[in-house]
Amino acid sequence: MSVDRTIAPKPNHIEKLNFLEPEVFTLDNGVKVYALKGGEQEIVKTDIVLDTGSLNGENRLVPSVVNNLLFTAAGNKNSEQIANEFDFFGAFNGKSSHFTDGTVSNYTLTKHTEKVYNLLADTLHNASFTEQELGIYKFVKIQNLAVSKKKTSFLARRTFAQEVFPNHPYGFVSEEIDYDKITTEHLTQFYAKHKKIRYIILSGNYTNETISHLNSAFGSFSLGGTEFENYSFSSNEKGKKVHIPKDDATQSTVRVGFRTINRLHPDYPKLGILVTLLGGFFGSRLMKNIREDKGYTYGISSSIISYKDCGLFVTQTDVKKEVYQDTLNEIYKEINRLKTEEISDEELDILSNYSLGSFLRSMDGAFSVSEKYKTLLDFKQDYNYYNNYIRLFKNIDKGELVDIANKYFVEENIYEVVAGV
Amino acid sequence: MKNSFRNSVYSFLTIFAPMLQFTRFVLDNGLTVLHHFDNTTPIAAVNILYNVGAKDEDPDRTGFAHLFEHLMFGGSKNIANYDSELQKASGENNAFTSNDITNYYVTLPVNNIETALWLESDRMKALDFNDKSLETQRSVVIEEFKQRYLNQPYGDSWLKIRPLAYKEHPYRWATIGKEIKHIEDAVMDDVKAFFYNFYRPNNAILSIAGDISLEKTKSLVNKWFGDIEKAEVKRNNIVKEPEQKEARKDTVSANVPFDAIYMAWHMSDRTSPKYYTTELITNILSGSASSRLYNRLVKDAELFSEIHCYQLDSTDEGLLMIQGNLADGISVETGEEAILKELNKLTEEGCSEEELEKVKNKKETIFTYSETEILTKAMNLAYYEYIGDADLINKEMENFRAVSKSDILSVSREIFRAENSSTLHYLREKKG
Repeated sequence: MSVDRTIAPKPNHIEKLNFLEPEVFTLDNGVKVYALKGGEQEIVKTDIVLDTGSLNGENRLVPSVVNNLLFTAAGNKNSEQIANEFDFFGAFNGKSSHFTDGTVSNYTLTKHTEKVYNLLADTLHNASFTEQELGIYKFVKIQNLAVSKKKTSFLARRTFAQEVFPNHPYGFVSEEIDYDKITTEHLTQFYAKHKKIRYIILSGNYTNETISHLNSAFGSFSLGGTEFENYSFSSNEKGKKVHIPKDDATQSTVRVGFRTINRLHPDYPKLGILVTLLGGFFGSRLMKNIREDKGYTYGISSSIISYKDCGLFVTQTDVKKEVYQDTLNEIYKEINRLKTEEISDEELDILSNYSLGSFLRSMDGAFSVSEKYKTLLDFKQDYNYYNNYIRLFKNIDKGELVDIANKYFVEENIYEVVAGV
Repeated sequence: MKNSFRNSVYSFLTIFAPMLQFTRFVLDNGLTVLHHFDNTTPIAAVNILYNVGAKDEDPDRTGFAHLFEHLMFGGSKNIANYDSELQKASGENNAFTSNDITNYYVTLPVNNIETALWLESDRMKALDFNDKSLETQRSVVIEEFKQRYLNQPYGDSWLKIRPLAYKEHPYRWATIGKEIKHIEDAVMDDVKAFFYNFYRPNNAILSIAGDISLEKTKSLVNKWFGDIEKAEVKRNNIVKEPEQKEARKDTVSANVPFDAIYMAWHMSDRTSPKYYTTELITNILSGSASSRLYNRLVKDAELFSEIHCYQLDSTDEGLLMIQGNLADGISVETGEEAILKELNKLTEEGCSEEELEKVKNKKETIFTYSETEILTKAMNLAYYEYIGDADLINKEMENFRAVSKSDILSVSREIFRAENSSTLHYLREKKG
């Protein structure tokens, strides 16, 4: 028996997404816990979202140093002792530092949550910042900075940020001298002021006991969260081109982009679709052109990053040095196509099915959902954000996409940075 | 890898899954199939592992297995564009090549699983060998070579450490290839010969995980893969690496900001009981803020800005690595001496009960975590089948728990001998 391989199995389309709704608990101190229940394994993820974002205060670096030095000293314990205690329970802690918060993400087997939560709350509550730890942190960071500066991708990213957000927190890049200036007093003062929990996200196979352990451990922590003001951008800040030489580079990093709308804007889903089409997946226009047709690169991608008060469109790639100018020409050509040609039915079919699959995957399982859910909380959105996409995919006006492309891809707003020419 | 910007987080270094229920069946053409039922997710994972890697290459035609992985996406007999067909079915895919295997994986809504089987079976049966695909992927791989190994500080360290540690075994070259020239010189005939030799159903393991019954899986797999013919796989006779009898050293200078050191010691193969002890040794030395090397050499002595210890998870006798970036002003000799002193502590005194317990407890969390992801489960099933038996997954935690303090002592004494070591000093070029 031989099957007919010339006929593709008929694909089923994703009609809707099932969203995992959180149970919301409130701890004794008013801190909200958004709990996403799922999975059969006895493991939970707990995200403690602290008010230690880098937009707080005047020094851009102090908050991120504070977030990175959590777990290095607490009460009379040093970093090795603290790490040993968590490790003994098989617990993993991740720290991340963002503009509007600092987050500690903990993975623990449910059988250990009582002890681990107490340890976690104790470590965060009594966190201190020692000369020794700060000294080592600085030495490592400064050394890593020197290594990073040898990479064209690093140079391109920093220069680009500075150009697109001049004199602005989003464009801040750290130099050795910025690290040198930081003292333990800066860190202690900052943490004393911002040692507050904005909210907690719990995900996995938790039980009521888990919640009660969380409450015992964290119920007396301070609740709080800065309400940040929005920045505005001058429309006089137009695009520019910056090319950075580097003789020994074998590749150039190309970065092209501009400030734009963020995910709160009603046009965002349509712009998002255009950006995905341009460079947001393996079948995108840029991948097909720059990689699959010309073989200039191992990868090229486009995305929109949403900050709380604006968005940033970026296309980036590392290409053979000899062809960076040709690559730039092709990028602009592909952007122009979005502004002048309607997308074909076939491409639209691929794009919408791929994108829905991508949403499905990104929300598969409680841990994945926790990440998406945090973004929704930070932007004060809900799952309708995704429903809007689904509705849009079922009913896209191709002409409207062209209009959106013309509205947002404006040549004089484009910043172009190439490192390694 | 097909493309680093897509999810490429999966590594077999420390992923295990306890009590995974599965069923194995083998088609007449030798294709081994593993089925795991999971109805807690709408996504299915289809993973196909081919028993071919860089170690199967000819020494003057290296980089081939990896180049070939790229070519697998250039279209098959009945399907011009693998990716767009999968995208229409809301699927995502990627692949990776190692010195031992080439692994392809797809995730998609389970009700489109037939698309994945159609795609994988068509390219197993008859890849479309076209010149355009070879030319393009040749260029892409050359750019990958540059992006990962040449355009990064210390990027070529792997191209130097492998031939230092291995003199006979094909692990002496990296998956990307010994040099760009081998990729430049690859011709279509070689490509075809490689495909027809290694990409056979009897040389492959297919694992399927998702909300699909065993009967349905059997029926679909037979439908799509049943008519692909088996064929004898001719392999090079892989020479066992002779025992290293004296310490080896090499030095490289480049435009890097600090000196770095790479040290390698020979260790057991993947199926040896010593593997578990070796893996825990690397966890005692590195990987956490409680680990020895980090605390003694970065925190206390400030000799290094970073230091890592890990093993390569090779199928044949592998390497245990220690690599570190020296602090500015510290010589590589001083750093090396400090590393050896730490290793001496381990080989003289062994580890404490608490240390051993703690690294085992961390493994348990990793174990448990890996069961929460459907793709990880599918990949693990195929991988463990490849090393001997998919059911080994369910014995992993037990194997780790069985490691004793005296195992740690005896295996570290065996591994950390000077005559077993290969050391690369990667120095900052002195400006004259």
